[in-house]
Amino acid sequence: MSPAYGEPVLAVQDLRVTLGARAGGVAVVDGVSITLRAGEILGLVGESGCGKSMTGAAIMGMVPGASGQVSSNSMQLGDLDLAQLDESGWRRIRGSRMSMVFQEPLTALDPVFSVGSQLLEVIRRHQPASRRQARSVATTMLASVGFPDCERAMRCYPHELSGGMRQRALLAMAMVCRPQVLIADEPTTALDVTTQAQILHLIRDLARQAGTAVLLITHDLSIVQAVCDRAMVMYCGRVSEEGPADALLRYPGHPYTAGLLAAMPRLSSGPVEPVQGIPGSVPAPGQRPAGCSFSNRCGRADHLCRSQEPVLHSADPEMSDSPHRHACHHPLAHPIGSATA
Amino acid sequence: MNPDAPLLRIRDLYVSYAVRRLPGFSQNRLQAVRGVSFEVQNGSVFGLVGESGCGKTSLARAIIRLVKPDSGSVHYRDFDLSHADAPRSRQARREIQYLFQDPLASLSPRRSIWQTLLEPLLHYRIGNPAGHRTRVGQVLEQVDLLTDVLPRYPHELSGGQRQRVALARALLAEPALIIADEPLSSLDVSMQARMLTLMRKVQKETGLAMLFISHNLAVVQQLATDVGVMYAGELVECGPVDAVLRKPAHPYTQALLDAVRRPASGGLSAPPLRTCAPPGSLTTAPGCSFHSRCPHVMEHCKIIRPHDNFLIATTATGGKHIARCHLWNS
Repeated sequence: MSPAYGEPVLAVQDLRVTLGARAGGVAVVDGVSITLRAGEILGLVGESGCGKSMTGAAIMGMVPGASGQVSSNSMQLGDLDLAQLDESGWRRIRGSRMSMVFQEPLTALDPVFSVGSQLLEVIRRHQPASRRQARSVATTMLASVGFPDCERAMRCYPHELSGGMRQRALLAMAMVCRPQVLIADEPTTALDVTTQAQILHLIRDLARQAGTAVLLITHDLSIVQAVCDRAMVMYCGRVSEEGPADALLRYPGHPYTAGLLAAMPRLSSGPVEPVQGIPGSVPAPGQRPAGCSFSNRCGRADHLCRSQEPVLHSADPEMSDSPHRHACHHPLAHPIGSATA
Repeated sequence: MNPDAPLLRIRDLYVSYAVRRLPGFSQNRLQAVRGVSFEVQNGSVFGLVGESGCGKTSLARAIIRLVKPDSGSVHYRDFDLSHADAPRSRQARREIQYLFQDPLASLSPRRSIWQTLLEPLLHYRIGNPAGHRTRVGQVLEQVDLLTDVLPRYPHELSGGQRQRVALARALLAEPALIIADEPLSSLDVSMQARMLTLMRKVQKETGLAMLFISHNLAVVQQLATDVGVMYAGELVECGPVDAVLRKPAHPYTQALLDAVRRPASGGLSAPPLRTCAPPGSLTTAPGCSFHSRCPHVMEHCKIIRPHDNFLIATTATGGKHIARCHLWNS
């Protein structure tokens, strides 16, 4: 029943997450709208503390009710209204229709159960399968994430695997029910570059095969460049720029996106371009400057930026419905028409 | 002392660890570093690259004798660190400073930043006590920190601030060599860039030498003058950064470069390596350690261990470019 490639599977309108009860709480995610389409990978980018992980957690219904409030205009997974789900409803969805991969697989896997038993648990919980059927599904899944010896892998405990293999095991668990949505929160940050490339390939291939929409949370734009179809840059809980990954990386409109790009070391065959960091740091939630939240770190900021908050608008002045949009009063100029090229 | 002598000279270093005997393995020592030789010149930055588990950290720790090497030698200036007398050991301890990967683990949680930064000055008896506050202030400025961090504790600082405190602590000992073991990997991209800029600035200003360990060649290119590539405990390629990155000689270096190279038009460029993991260092299979993943594997790669082949010096500086690979047998 997986939807056709490119069809919207998850639509979140105006998502807000507030933490803490003091004085109405502090908004850590503030009006984020996301649409995920089957088989595509959306990169959610930003520095630590910009609200990207919290956005992922809110979509998975994992913001603890005691400390945070989640609200939205609508949150739809296909025809299912996620906002109406109670905890038992969420448990049926998580792992079957939506699943998640975390940054540190060693803490996401249970150290006292073998990989096989953790994988079987997911299958048996969500699918009407006999023990034997579940076992065959599990071994097939382990083979498809690249375990050379599946029978042995089933018996392995997490500490016996390397970082890359652990992340593969976690991916197997996340993808075994062919979910509609996969949220991958910094899945390759703990891995080194060659393993990183393999895991990203794997996520992309699995998502294409199963028609899964992927929300890939990362601070690294080179990952966006490598595998993402679209990208969304977040700053201080708001979307500062979004669009097709190619256009956004080639013609960044928001100075924050440009800053992240300048911070990315790239191999060059000519003289080395020194990287440049963005001065300052992400303000703590609740201490955002008035107007544009990036204005205190931005070289282009003026009086307008400090008084009035910019809204997301088309990056192409000639096309008001361009998919490439940014929230900036003084965006970087690019050749006309290039924003959607 | 000979002014042209390298600051640090490592010859044929072997490091191994005792491990529980595993089924299927004949020996119970894990060979972490296998016959590594290289030199770090005064005022230069040597970048050491490789995947996790390839022995980079073991090598770095063996240099400062946090682990004891099995064999081989580490010469610092004109003396052998394994046979140095007490004053010389003490001099080396001060002059070689280590920057660890995770500053939250390397800074004491129970000491304020002021106490932490004062420690090297007191321990090595640098300067007179009246000047300590000024000296700490100078170094804080050098690493882009304000003196308002001094009364605070590590948990109150951001990751980037902590790593800069760790750098400040290293600089206060007035080192000649800093060994930085993946100092950027706990930081996000923007902070990484600032830390990298800072380390380059500090290195230029003070003229100290650095052994910079990273798994990312693009990061190493930003800082290093020379680069060494490690695989399964061996230094498979080594030379001036321009030569190695522009004309990689070893297939493993080529694979690493493909993993970080910018694809021309979106999408992934290079296919990943043939298999997913390097061979376990417990096995002492004959032949080249990379042969099971190498796209250019030949029959004798599986049998004979390659030795270091000198390539023609390709840079104006005349640095030696070495590859441990049969493709370059003359």
